[in-house]
Amino acid sequence: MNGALTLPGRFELTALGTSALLLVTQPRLLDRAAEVLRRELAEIDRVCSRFRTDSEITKLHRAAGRTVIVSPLLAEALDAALRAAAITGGLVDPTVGAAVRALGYDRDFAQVQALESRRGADGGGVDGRGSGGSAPVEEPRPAPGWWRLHWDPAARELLLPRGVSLDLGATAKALAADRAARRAAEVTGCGVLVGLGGDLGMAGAPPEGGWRVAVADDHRDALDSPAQTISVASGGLATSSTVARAWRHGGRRRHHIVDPRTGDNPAPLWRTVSVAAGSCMDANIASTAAIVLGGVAPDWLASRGLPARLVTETGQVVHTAGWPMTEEGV
Amino acid sequence: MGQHLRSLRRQRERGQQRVTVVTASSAAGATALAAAFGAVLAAGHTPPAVPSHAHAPAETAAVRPVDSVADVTRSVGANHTAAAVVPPAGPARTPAAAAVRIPAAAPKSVTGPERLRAPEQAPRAVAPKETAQAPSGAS
Repeated sequence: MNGALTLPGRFELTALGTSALLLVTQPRLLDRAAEVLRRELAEIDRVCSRFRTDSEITKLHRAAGRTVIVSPLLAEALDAALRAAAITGGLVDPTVGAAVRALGYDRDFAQVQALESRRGADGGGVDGRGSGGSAPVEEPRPAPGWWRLHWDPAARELLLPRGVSLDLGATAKALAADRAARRAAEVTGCGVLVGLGGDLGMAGAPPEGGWRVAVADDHRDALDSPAQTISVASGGLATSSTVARAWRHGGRRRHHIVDPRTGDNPAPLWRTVSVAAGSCMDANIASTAAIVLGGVAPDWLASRGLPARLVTETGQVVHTAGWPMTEEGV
Repeated sequence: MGQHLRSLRRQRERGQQRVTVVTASSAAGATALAAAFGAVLAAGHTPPAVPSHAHAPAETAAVRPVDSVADVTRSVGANHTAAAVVPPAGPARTPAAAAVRIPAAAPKSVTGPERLRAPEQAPRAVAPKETAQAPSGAS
């Protein structure tokens, strides 16, 4: 275990449409851990990206209506997504693919932003149908429902009904963080933290005092101007927010969190929810569900023993289940 | 026979009167309800505390500073502590959309723990001046 003052080895790269961070407690093992991380991220992208024409999930959509055998990694991602849906009663549902597209998130987010900035001058959205446009905006599409998938995990057989579109984004990133951290810790034997766009998975022995984490609305601002600095020893930490990954569509501001029941963005109550859990996956599920749940989210999180920090649109902060009460700048 | 016919006629008339009364009372009830609701609104009793821009996602979603902190401390099981602060009420759900999403049958194939796993230790606060190692926030 490293001493408290020893800075861990650090490695960063861009992947899955966001930034990836790797920390290891033994800097000399950083390269080996980085190799594991690169491989894991490449695999997740090849399997789960809905923006790649050659990804396994894209091929799965082409095969809708037929039973197909999926790869072990897609099987793991499907298991995770369906478990998220079951645990949350459908608040986090992988069948929101069409709903997300209807809101304008129909390509890699960098392209969404690029289109928006090109068309922003005339007030148009990413589809060119901004507030001044006359073309009708597509109505929100409630998710068909996760229970419509015919999934046999033992045989890895999936029948995706026609018209059901999957988006594993909510859980696949967290899965990648957990997998990469676990594999890198196995390979190197040291403590590993993997952060993907601010969602953190940890494995192995942490540095003394735990992994220090800066929490903020946007992970890109967190290190420079954290809302709070905490330490976490194990498991995972995830933040969901309506602030980042937002765009304009049909004259309205949209973001990437969808209420599967309506196909629309949840009514704005929480702008950011950070949750600590036994894994990055569970933290991500809980933080996403909390944004969708709205006002009952603190009780929902507390009753599950999940420490969380919730920030309303107007800046009020609510903590649950032992999340430290300190706030910087208050 | 004549008496039976007269009896039937009386029943029919009573039935028509009842229908009229019911209709009238419904309309009156609706009017009274509308008046009462109007009075509530006029008195400033607005629906639960959803942010004022609840129905149109904020055009200015820029990060605003934190202006207050509350704690919902609740442990599961014994030593249950009431919430210190009542969190803002949630937005009204959309029952129509939710109603159609009841699964016909829960899939049998979901694997993994049936509950979200809590962390072994809750996060701890550390001094802000310490160098943070990892950022967590939305991406």
